[in-house]
Amino acid sequence: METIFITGSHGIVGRELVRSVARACTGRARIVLLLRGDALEVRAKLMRVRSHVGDARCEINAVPGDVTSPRLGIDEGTYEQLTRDVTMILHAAADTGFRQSREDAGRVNVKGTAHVLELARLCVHNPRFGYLGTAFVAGGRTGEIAEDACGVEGPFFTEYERSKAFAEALVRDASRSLPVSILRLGIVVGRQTDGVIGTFDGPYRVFKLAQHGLLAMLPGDPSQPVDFVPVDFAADAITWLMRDGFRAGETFHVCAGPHRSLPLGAIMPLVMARFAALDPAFRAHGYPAPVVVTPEVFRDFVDTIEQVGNPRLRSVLENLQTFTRHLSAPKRFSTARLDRALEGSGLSLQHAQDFLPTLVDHAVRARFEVSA
Amino acid sequence: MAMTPALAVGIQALGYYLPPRTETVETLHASGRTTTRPEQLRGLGYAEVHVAGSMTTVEMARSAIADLQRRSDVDLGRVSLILYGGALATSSVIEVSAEQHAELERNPLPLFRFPGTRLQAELGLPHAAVIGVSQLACNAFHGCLRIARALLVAEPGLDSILCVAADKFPEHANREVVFNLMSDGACAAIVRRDEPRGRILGTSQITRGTYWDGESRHDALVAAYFPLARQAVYEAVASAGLSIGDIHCFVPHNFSVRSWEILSRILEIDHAKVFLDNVARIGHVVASDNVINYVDAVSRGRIRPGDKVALFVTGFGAHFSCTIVEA
Repeated sequence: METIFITGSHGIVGRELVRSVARACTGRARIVLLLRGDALEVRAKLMRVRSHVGDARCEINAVPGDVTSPRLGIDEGTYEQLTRDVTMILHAAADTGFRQSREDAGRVNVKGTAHVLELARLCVHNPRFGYLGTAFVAGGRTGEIAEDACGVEGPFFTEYERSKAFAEALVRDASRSLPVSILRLGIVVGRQTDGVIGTFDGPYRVFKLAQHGLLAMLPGDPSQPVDFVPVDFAADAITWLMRDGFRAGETFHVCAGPHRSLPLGAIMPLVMARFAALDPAFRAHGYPAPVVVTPEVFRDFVDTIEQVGNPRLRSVLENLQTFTRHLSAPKRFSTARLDRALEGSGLSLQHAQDFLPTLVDHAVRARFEVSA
Repeated sequence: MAMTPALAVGIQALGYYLPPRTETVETLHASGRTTTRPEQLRGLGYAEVHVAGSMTTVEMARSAIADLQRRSDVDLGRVSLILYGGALATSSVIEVSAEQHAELERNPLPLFRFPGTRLQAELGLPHAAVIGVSQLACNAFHGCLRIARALLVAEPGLDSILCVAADKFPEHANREVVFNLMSDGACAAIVRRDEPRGRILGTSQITRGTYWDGESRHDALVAAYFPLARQAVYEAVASAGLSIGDIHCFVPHNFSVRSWEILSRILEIDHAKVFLDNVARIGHVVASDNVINYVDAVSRGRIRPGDKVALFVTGFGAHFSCTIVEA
């Protein structure tokens, strides 16, 4: 019986991944989720995941635990059982906050990964190990980023990036004894089918600021592609790469790639055109699209706002930084290996020009809020 | 494609007036007339402002016209229209005394005393019609130029139009507006048909009423400033049939030097082309910055005959205007 152990199933990607895996199961299979919390919380979370998955082709269970704890905080009997049953591990748990300390980021992202790898090594079936990383382990590097090993030297913009680079290095080391696949995600956005997403974060913050007329400028090169990857495509691609398309030891950019991405300079005009089409009140404001400026100009603008001490605009800029810092180091995530691996999968990703309106429409309808 | 009218309309003469009394950022702050600390204001490029004191706006306007006459020896007798611009709401009516203000409910007639007609009377120009231009904030003078140009094209009977703007802040008012330090002052120009000097090649004006309440929409207005400033400049340049690289000198409103360091890079222009010599010395003179800076840039050799010059200004409301002139 196939047993798939998944961490991080409550994250934006994780919950979509469970849905994708559950719907792709054939034969006798079960999914075991590692969920944090007491019995009641775990049960509630499990119910939400099952509800999100809908028609699963396998049973979905949960074990209480925490990646930051030795042996994942799972009781001994269950842990031993997992080592006998598990045939695949999908490690999606991560602290994706951009402002955490090095210690906090390392605790979840590095130690947590080490703990999950330890389980994998103890499993008798030598399970396939899928590690969900981030393409932004590239940190401050610019230009074409290949689907290859990256160093842990940096430079990095955040402790999140640094910790994910270290975690990736651990997984790469483990590939000598385990069949691992490193799956680096780009900027994850809503489903290309209907725009639904678990949290309106990252670029959605930028969109929301533009909706309120508070976005003056974005740093970067107007022609640089911004890699938005819809969460449903990402989940389905990972499912394929871990099943039929599995290749041990490979690293993939689970990204849209430059050829399916919009240039930075085209994104906000398109987003704002959708706002205007959907909302007469927005149209009446006539807010200008933000200008795309060099990182140096953007930094001067931030410094000036700091200098004059405008608290609201300062807060706006701080909120933007998780997104804008990446724009300041223009890069193009190659998806050559991913594209080859997905041949025959039947998966297709629209161009961002086609799915971005769907994302914006959903965000506007939902008022940038996720219903409970 | 250029949208220059068939008739050449140009600026024959320019003049300005700054009241002699000055105050430093330190004295202003000490008396509670700035919000930001003096060292921060100096960091933004400001040092002093000019304060009118008891001088009225009409007196400043007359002084600006006298300066214009000194510089150009023009014949005011040819003026057939006065366009009087007031940036501040209070600049569009004659100041009333405290006693008159208290009596306004009983006697509202002082509310109908306007500076444009008073100026006409004091200048002795009974044959010049008067039109007041208000509600454009610091863009008032640009509004005057734009209307003058259009009227000279539309009405063959008009020959010379006197454009004037004059503003003063209340004596004890805070002189810091959206991180800019404000001076009192006035400016004047004679705009004529078939005038080879100061030919107006193109204009632009963007108005976004969503920012009409500059206080409650302050942050959104700050966010809109750079994108709309860029748009206004590029539209004016295009309307003149030019490209941004053709502009020899950018005559700014005296927003902070810091803001111009940013805007010049957004406009993708050489920062050295922006005439910023006056910011520290005079601050932002409401609607008169462009004229003051243009005149001074000419006298310092920064603008030479034949140069293409962009005059840009932003005002509450919000308005963004740019006029392209061939010196």
